Amino acid sequence: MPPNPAPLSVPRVVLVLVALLALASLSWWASHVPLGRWASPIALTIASCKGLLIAGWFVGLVRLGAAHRIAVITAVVLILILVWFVAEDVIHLRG
Amino acid sequence: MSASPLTDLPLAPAAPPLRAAPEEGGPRGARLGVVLFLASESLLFAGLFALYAAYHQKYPQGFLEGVRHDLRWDGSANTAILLISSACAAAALPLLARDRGRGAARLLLVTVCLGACFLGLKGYEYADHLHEGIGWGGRGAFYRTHHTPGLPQFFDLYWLMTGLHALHVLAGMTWMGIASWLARRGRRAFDHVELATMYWHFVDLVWVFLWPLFYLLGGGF
Repeated sequence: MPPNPAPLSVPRVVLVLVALLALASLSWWASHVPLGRWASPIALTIASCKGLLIAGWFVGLVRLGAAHRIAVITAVVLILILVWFVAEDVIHLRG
Repeated sequence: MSASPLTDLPLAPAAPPLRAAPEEGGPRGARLGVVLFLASESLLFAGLFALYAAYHQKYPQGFLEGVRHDLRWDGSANTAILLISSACAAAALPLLARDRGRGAARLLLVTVCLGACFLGLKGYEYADHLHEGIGWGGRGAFYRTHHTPGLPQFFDLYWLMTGLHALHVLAGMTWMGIASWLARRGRRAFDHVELATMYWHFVDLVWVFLWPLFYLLGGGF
């Protein structure tokens, strides 16, 4: 792997920014629509899409090497385990 | 006197000097270090998000009222500010790769200024909450008139998570300020600036999740 993978070009940065602002507008719009129990999953799904754009293209994980991806995937797996345990606990407490 | 059989043995060739493999250090190693640091930071925030989820399940009404009480326009403006600041930081890198250090330094300075705008709006929001008597641990005049269960938990998490994030913004601004100063050296500063921008994007990433949880879920959501 070269020491410096080519950074994102300026037009692509603008493209990612436009996508992020569009998703932010979608979050804002959806917050005015009564979605009931789907509210949180929808809000978090939109936030995750924004997160993927930021991590993948702005941080540059799509351009970085395998070691970086392994570190990120490990962190994501650990977070999912944490969320899973908390969810189990909450469901158990609610009976 | 005959020579010892040991002294007659041919000498082993000299070992090559020890040297780290190129991939063990340098920009790649530094990038991996920052990625690991950010991964550990994300676990810290994940714990707080899990706490939010648990309390949200336990006190849905209190959290709904809490979100409706937050300044939605302020949080949303801060979202736009951070997204644009992240784009400015990302756009500085291709300029630096082409040795256009001054342009990159300007973009990084804009990023720092946008970070200051974020903290300014956050300060306004905090002042507004404190003026209303929303204190830590259910203390303050606000809780004498608002008795919904879960409100103190919501606002404690609000202070904790947004406060911790604001500290990260401050740290990011400092690092980006240093990166902006170094960027004037042109391509030679690329590695340092890249690491600083990775940290700034992480700060942006955390806010992307804080925004709906503390400012949006109380509306139609």
